[in-house]
Amino acid sequence: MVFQVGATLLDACVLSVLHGEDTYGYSLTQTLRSSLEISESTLYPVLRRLQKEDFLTARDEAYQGRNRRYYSITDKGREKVEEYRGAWKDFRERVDGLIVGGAAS
Amino acid sequence: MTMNEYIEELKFHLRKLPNDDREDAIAYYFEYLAEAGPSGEAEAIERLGTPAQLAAGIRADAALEALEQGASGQQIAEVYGDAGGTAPAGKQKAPGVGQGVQAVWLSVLGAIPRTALAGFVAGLVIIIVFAVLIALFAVAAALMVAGGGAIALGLTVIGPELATGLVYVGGGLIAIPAGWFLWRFVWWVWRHAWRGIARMFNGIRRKREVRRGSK
Repeated sequence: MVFQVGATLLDACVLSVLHGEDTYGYSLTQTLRSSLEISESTLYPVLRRLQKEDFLTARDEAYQGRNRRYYSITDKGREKVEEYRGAWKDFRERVDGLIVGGAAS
Repeated sequence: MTMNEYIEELKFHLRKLPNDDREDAIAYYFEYLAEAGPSGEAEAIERLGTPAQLAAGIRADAALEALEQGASGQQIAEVYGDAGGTAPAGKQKAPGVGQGVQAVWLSVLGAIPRTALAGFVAGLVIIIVFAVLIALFAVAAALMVAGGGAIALGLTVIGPELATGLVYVGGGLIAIPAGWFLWRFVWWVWRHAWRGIARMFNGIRRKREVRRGSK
């Protein structure tokens, strides 16, 4: 990928995926990796931080004799997603105006 | 390397972290490799990097996290309870220079792969920052001392040489507060520089991890 994924964009992607459904670390990593170039160890500190900031909560569930930790978005996290969606739309339109629009005219 | 060997090595490299942080990281990566399953395990292990590399990142993150929360919480004392051996857990403590230097050290080690080189660079960065800040402290102190001297000198000649005396006294009155402001400014930088440097090297490491992930 030519463009770097910054911390804020990564936060927005993680929260948006979890806005859809609860999931666990491995699955979340693979979902994001299907669209973004992030390493397998990128999400651990991100998930910790988002929990500390009360955007996420974690719960443990037994799965095949071991633990699986599911992450769920909080109400505060949902509000943040709305904020990110608005900001992203605005950002995308501006960049489209420069990159796509600039090429068309 | 099998999954169990990987986790054991990771545990070893995280042994200095407080129990909660270590258990949390181990649980996360144990689950992660278990989810990858027997078929995906080897590939996942390769993409995570060596246990030492993974641990270096986790430790740098923990140190920076503790430093950033320091002003408001007890985390610092907890995180450095084992490693730094400073404040007892539960005591409120602002992040001091010791924690800052430690965070810089860990973040540089995390950012650069070869340990010997990383140690050298981390040491160099810390020494340079120390030297620059101490030089600035000296300049601030010199300004204040010189200002005091100028005022004293000005007062002795103000009788016979009014203009000269006023110049000296005026110069002194400017130099003292200028030195004082510089002192306060350098003091502020001193308290925040370490956090900034630690953050910078952590950023470098994360970018490298992103690149590693794109292979």
